[in-house]
Amino acid sequence: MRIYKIAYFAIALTALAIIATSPGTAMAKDVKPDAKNNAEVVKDTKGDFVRGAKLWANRCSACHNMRDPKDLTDSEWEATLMHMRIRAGLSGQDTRDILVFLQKTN
Amino acid sequence: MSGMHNKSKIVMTSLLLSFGLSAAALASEPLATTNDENYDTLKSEINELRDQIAIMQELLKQQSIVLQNKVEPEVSKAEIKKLKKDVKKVAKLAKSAEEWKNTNSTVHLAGYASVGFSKQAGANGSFSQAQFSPIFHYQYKDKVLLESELELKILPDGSTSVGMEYLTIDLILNDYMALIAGKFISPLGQFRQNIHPSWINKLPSAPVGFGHDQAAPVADTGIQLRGAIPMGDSDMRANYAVYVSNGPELIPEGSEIEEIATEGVARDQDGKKVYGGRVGFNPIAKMEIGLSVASGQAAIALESARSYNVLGADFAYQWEKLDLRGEYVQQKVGALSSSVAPESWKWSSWYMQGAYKLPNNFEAVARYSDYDSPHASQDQRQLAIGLNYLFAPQVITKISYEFNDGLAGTSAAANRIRAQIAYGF
Ligand code: HEC
Repeated sequence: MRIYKIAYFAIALTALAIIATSPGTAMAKDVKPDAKNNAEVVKDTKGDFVRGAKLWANRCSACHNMRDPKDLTDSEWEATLMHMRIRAGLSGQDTRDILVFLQKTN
Repeated sequence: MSGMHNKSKIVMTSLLLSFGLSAAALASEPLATTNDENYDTLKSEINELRDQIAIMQELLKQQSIVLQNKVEPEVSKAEIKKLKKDVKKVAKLAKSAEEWKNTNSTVHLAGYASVGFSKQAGANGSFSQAQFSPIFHYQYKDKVLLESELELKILPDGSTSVGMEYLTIDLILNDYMALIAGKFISPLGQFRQNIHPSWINKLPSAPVGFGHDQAAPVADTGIQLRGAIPMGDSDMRANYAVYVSNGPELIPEGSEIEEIATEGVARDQDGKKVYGGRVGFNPIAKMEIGLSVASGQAAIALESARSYNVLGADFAYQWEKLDLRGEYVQQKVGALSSSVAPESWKWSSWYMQGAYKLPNNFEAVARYSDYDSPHASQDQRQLAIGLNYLFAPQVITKISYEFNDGLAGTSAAANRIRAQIAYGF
């Protein structure tokens, strides 16, 4: 069963690497961007429309047919995207970017 | 309004009064005499009256103009009042909408339903499926998501079965990690966790080996960590899911293990956990390659534990109108000499599927799947072809034909035609 042990080790290592390298909790609503933060950081905690549009086109048809942004309201998209973020393993930033895109085009 | 009425009443009454008085004055004149003098006085009096009437007519005219002017501003005042009311109403609505937008929590109902018909060669066809799978989402800020899917379906005898497909409380730990706890769909492979919902699956059935209690693990109860793997600024993406769970239970029949029950039991009879996970990698957009592995121990009830291992690989690729995917999975149970079923057992299955979007919302699908069970009667190979019509991206009607190849005389052998309407919401 060596193959399992190797695969295991790889997964455990990946998980550790992620825990070690993850930035602290960065949630859009919680971050109070103070004036000293540079523009990039502030922008990043919010979500970017252009990046979101691209990610939506690239990521959201991987498992099922592309859903029309108009299918759901702003708050429904919030819950749905959290669902998809977990299902598809999207990063928080990718999720925020896509959310901005969907909420602006619905 | 009433003020205006009063004023016009006063004017009218005064006019009538003066007419009346003048008439009375005329009447009081002695008319009996008809000499010239009398005629002249009468004439001049009439003339005088005429003049008075003219003046009064003029006055009346002016009065009515004044009245008309007065009416105008009073009407618009009423309008303004109404407008003010409307504005208040709208402002209130806007405020409540704003409140809604800014609440900490969101409740959302999603899910899917499907109805279907199937006919196997040599048997009667029947409307064989009516299934409703509501999904509840309770979200708190962007920190927590409760997700639960129920599965309600009508059984052949008309009774209804209710199942909990999954229930997890998901805590978002940071941008790259979420903790998922509860009963979850097995994160191994792609069919069970991503493709099985009827509005997503392009065929009315699961590939052989990927149904319940076959080669692919269905669900588990435990905890999971999952999220994205940081990839810097590149366009590549990667994701992971690792879990620890109760693991499956082994169901014996005679001296064989009939099946591995992977429905996510809420007990751990052997006291040994199963550890597993999947890593998904997107080297380019619209392509994902996944590797899955799980390892631990499982047992037949009241027996001691034996090794249990899962290995899987999957891929998915979309290119223009083409959607390709495939997957391999195997579950293995080790030998245990003290067991009623002492040998080691292996279930494996794979499928390959291609779907192509045709003009006018049609879609053609073909899938080949092959299931190897340790029990020859369960072995099955299947080619399924289908034609779908998409009423909407999430509302799909499907017709398919399954060419089955299995042990002669078993249900795995006969071909089958299926039709289904699936709606995801
Ligand atoms: C890894 C596969 C996968 C990817 C990628 C994916 N989805 Fe989904 N999506 C699913 C599955 C599976 C369901 C059905 C949910 C269930 O059965 O639990 C679903 C359901 C949905 C629904 C229905 C509502 C709901 O919450 O169930 C919407 C809308 C949706 N996805 C939108 C998106 C968007 C937008 C994206 C891009 C960010 C996306 N999906 C990416 C797998 C995926």
